[in-house]
Amino acid sequence: MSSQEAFLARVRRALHKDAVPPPSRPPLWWSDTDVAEAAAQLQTRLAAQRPALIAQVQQELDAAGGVVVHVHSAPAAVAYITHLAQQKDAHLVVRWQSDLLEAIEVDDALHQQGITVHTTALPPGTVAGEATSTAAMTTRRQELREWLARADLGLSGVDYVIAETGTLVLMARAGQMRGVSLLPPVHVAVVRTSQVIATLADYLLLAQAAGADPSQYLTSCVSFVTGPSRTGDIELKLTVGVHGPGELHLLVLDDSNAR
Amino acid sequence: MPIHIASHTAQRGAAEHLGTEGFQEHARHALKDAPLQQALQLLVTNFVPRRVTAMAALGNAEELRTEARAIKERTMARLDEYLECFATQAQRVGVQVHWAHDAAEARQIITGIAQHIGARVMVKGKSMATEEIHLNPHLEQHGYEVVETDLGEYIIQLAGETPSHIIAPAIHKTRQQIATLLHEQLGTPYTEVIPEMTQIARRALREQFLRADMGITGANFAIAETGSIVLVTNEGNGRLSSTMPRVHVAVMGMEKIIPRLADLAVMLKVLTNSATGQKISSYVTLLTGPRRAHDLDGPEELHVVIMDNGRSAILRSANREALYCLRCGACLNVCPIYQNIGGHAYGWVYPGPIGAVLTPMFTGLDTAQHLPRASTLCGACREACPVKINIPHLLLNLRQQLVERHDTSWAERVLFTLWSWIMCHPRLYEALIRLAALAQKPFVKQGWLSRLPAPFAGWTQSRDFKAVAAQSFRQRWQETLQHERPVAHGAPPAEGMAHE
Repeated sequence: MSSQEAFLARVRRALHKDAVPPPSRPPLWWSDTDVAEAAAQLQTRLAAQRPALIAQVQQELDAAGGVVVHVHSAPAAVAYITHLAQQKDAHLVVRWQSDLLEAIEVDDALHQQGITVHTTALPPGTVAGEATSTAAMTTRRQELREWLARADLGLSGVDYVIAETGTLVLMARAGQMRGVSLLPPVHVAVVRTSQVIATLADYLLLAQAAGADPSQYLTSCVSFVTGPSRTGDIELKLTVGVHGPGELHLLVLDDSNAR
Repeated sequence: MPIHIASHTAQRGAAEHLGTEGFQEHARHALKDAPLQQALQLLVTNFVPRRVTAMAALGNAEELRTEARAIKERTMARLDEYLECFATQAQRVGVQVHWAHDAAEARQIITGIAQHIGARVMVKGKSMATEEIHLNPHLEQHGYEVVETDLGEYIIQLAGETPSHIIAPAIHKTRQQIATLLHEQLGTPYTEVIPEMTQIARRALREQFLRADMGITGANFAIAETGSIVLVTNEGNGRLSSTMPRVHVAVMGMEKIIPRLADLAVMLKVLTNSATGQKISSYVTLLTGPRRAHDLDGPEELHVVIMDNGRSAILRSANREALYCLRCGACLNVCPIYQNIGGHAYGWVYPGPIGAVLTPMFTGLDTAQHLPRASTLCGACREACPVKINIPHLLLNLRQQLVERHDTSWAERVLFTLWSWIMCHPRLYEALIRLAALAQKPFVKQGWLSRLPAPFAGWTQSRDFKAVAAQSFRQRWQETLQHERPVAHGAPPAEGMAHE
């Protein structure tokens, strides 16, 4: 196999550069923005635009085939979810472990309808960020994978929603499994109004402001989801639900009423 | 070595490209292929207006294209440094980075990984890079079961064919052909209802996602600043391929690098709007390393295979900007040649105008010499390109190389010397044009020259010429037009027209 050195040496030759790069090179990044300050300013700006942004989310996600519902209280959100679960004849729901989903107390309502709810939580006794038993994690991953493969509905929170395109930003991390928004035929996400931002560029800036190092501010997988899974591969006819969920519902919950 | 081969894999013939040498022959066949012509019509009426509308709706499409191009220019000028930076950052988050000089090395790296982890079943997300290295036949020869999971790619894999469009690989097949294929290959009830066909494929492929040991994808972007790779899909095949199997291998050409995380916002916008006219595709997946200690899913290992495979030669050449290509397919859709002959006639992995540039540089100019000539140089591709690649110019560079490389005939040299001499003598030129207008008379049909006698017969063998006008522009100018020139409010006369 080629070594990195041999590979890069060829590229350098193609660029007519010397084999060894000069010691003092101009920096690779040409941005001089102070990320923290820019992010703070952005948040202030976004707060002022929020009602318009929420309207834009509605419009854009509608256009992409998603369903956006503005709910004014936790019980209204729960009512929507339980109604949808009933409609889909759901038996199994798998959900993110999230403060918001726990605060609205959706599990009890689903249990009352005879629906099983599993949470994508770490194995008991495991604390996020601390060392854990590999065996316990392996078992946990396996059982969650099996549940998700059978689940009728995946329920998640989001990290952000991008108004410009109606895009949900889902960052995989402990408690926030990738598969919840991917494997079940229906995906329902709940967002607080304060999580709505304007553009993808906003997200990338806010992410970078959250840590000094990429391994801190980016998790292993950030999924940007805009509407249901879709394809046009047969005669360019738009069809949904080919691999991922065929339905995407976004519940936008007013901040003041989240708890 | 694993030997398990699923029944539907074994039945397939090896998908092979037609080859570039027989381009003219393939093009003639394509023109007579009725289902293909129908499909191409669909492509033109769908993709072209969607892109045009979407780009117009952006409001600042021109600025975005300029910025996207500038990002690519800056990246290529210091590609070695960005590649090094990407590798360092990716390794820090646990990615295993591999460097492949050519296709053989890339294939060897991938089978090496498969062997090491004891893989048997592989699911693939849609990827042109793996097409380029003919990965599937290689893996199948080594006894691996390989399943394409993009619906279009799955269809053509079942049919034993190759993709005919960069983003709509099965565009050349009708729904009836696909219905028959699914029925025969999967044994499911025959249906022509597209959502039902889609559900059949979903069930078949979901099973494969759950049993696969290895997921293979391409990468639309690789971010130097963070060591991340980005997958752009609509179906979710990229998400599933990079999430469900225990090992994920991403194969990318070295030109996929973008410098900063922030650059993604611009690049993604021009890509999806140009490709499908979407503001963003359904799924964009930003992957930074394999799963971490407390992640509940995601692959244990993430390998990134960075390929040269002829790219450093392109980087060195006058056609460097061919490396800016994002593989959006927009230039295919607008090209009058592609619109008539489709993708397969081009004979190799990359079809259309950008294929006519890339293929000769990847596979050799001599065997692919017909491709740079298969263009009217109308410039529609350049206008559609999200990074403003000057494709007509690149095609001309290749044509120039062809001329320089081969001894032209004595007759051709004399003819062109004569022609340039005539062009330098306006009065003579004018006289000859008048003569031509008279001489052509027996051959003109409804304003067109479709068949000329020897020695000009070759010129009309595969093209029609507009007949020489009875009155030349110069004549019309002198007799009438110049007196009609608006004086007070009109635009100034175009350069080079008034002086004589």
